[in-house]
Amino acid sequence: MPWVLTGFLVLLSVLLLIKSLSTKSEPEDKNVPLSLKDLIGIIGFIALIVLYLTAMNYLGFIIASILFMATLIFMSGSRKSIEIILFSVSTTVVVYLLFQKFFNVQLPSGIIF
Amino acid sequence: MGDIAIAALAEVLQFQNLLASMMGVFYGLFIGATPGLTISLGMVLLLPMTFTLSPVTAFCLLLGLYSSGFTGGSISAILLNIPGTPSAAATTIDGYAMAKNGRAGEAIGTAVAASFFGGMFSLVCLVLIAPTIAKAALSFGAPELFALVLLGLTLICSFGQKSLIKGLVSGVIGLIFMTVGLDPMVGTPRFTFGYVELQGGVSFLPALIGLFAIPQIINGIITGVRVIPQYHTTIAGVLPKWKNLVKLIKPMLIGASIGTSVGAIPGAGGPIAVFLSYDYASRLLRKSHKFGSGIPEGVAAPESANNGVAGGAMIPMLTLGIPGDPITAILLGALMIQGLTPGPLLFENNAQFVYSIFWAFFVANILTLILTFLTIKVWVRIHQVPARILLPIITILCIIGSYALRNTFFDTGIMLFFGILGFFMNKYDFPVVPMLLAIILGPAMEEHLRMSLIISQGDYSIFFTHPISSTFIIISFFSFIIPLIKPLLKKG
Repeated sequence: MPWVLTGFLVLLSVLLLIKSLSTKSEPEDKNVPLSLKDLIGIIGFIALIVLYLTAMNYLGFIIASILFMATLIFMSGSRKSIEIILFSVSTTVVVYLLFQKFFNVQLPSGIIF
Repeated sequence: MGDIAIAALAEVLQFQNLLASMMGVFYGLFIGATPGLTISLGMVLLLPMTFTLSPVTAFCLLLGLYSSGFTGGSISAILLNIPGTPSAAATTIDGYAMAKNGRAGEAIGTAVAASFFGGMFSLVCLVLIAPTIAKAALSFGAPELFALVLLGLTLICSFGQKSLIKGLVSGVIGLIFMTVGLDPMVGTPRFTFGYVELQGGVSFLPALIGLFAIPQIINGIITGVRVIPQYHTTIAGVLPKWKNLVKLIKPMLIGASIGTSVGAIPGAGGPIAVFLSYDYASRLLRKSHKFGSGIPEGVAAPESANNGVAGGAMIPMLTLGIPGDPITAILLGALMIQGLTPGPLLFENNAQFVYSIFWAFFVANILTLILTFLTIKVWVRIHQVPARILLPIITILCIIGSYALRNTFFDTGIMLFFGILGFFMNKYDFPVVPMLLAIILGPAMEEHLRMSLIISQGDYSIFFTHPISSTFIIISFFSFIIPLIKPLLKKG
């Protein structure tokens, strides 16, 4: 029974995809394809998150988050070092207090620290 | 009945719940007033923090956000001609024109008052209508419930979406994701690929965060930081005069009733309601007023409509478990996080909680009215918070929020997966709401389907021999046949 159901869903979705692809080719394609620069931006963003999650296991939540936030704020276009330090540290501290202390979520503590 | 209502009021008026309502209202005004942050995004970021709260406190917080977000959205619509949330789009027409004529304060005051009126109007409708629907729905068996969810899903796929087929594709892919996990009847693992974490299915909270928040962050990073123009008007006379408000009763009534009814239809939601009510009000009052030239009537109608949607959308959400708009779909998720099953049984088993929701919405409306007037000076400046700070903060909240439910980064991975999926869906005009709904409603839908088939011993005609379920199926059939044949009818 579950296989009949899932099989039915897969079949339906494939049918719909074919149908939508065939109708879509006719009207004007107003979508601008992603430029290489954008694609690099997206991949960089995801890679940064993966790096952050890995780093958290070694450095612990607080240090990894400060570094992550600082990089992200820099990537978003901030060049003032005061701004970067202020917001990366304060956000990390607020998130830490909020989740760890107030909501009792156990954030990863890391091996080194 | 009366005792329960009073007990519920007492609960909502407890200190921590009032505090939660207030925090929700402030947060909602912030989210609403900041262009680029939608109410759905704000609510999704808040959800992970509601696990440890009691259901009533959680809903005080969320409903505070829901009612004030629309009000906040009108502020940047009026001052900057940029709607703070999509639902404030119609307010820009007359609101910005008023601000250019030096009547910004009056426009904001009208918007806040109209929002309050719309919210209260829809609350009255909710309180009057919801119990009756819930009582009627109580007699539904498995076939009726299956047909109902099917109807809700098809309405959302077909109604108000640009392309019916894209809506359906999105919904069906969502249903396929739903089948991951242990089989609800037999307990066999399906599509788990050996991951223990997937046995409970794709958890909807990370999916929710991914679909709503990540595309916005990626867009922000790609397009870079948008420079938001400064405004140069003075804001005075925000508090509206009583005799001016009395004159606005007609557009407010139009807005509130259209908003509530559109909200109650699954799938339509705020942006449609505001333009519909603006259009209707401008046609009805065409003789005496010039809409578009900057008149308070043009602000009052859409603003009472978008808050009317809030109460209207909660009617099907609470009584049938079918959300009226994307935001109530997230509220539905919040209910499920609290372990409550939305639907007719909620009124039967958790009557006091339902009344608490009504009161919480009542309190949220009043607090929005008062707090917006008191703190208006803050919100008119809020758009100056730069996106380069906001985006990283939202990113870290998404990561930790998706981790917090089960303390596992596996869910963060799911969040990222749905985030990237959501980004490409947005890019190619596939709506994400049908997928979200399929993920939330899918398990219940499958359960009702399989239960019905067990009752009928595998005979599919059970859905057509029961009169109510066959009605639902026929309506859902027509709801996606009509958009398909409409272009053909126009041609001929």
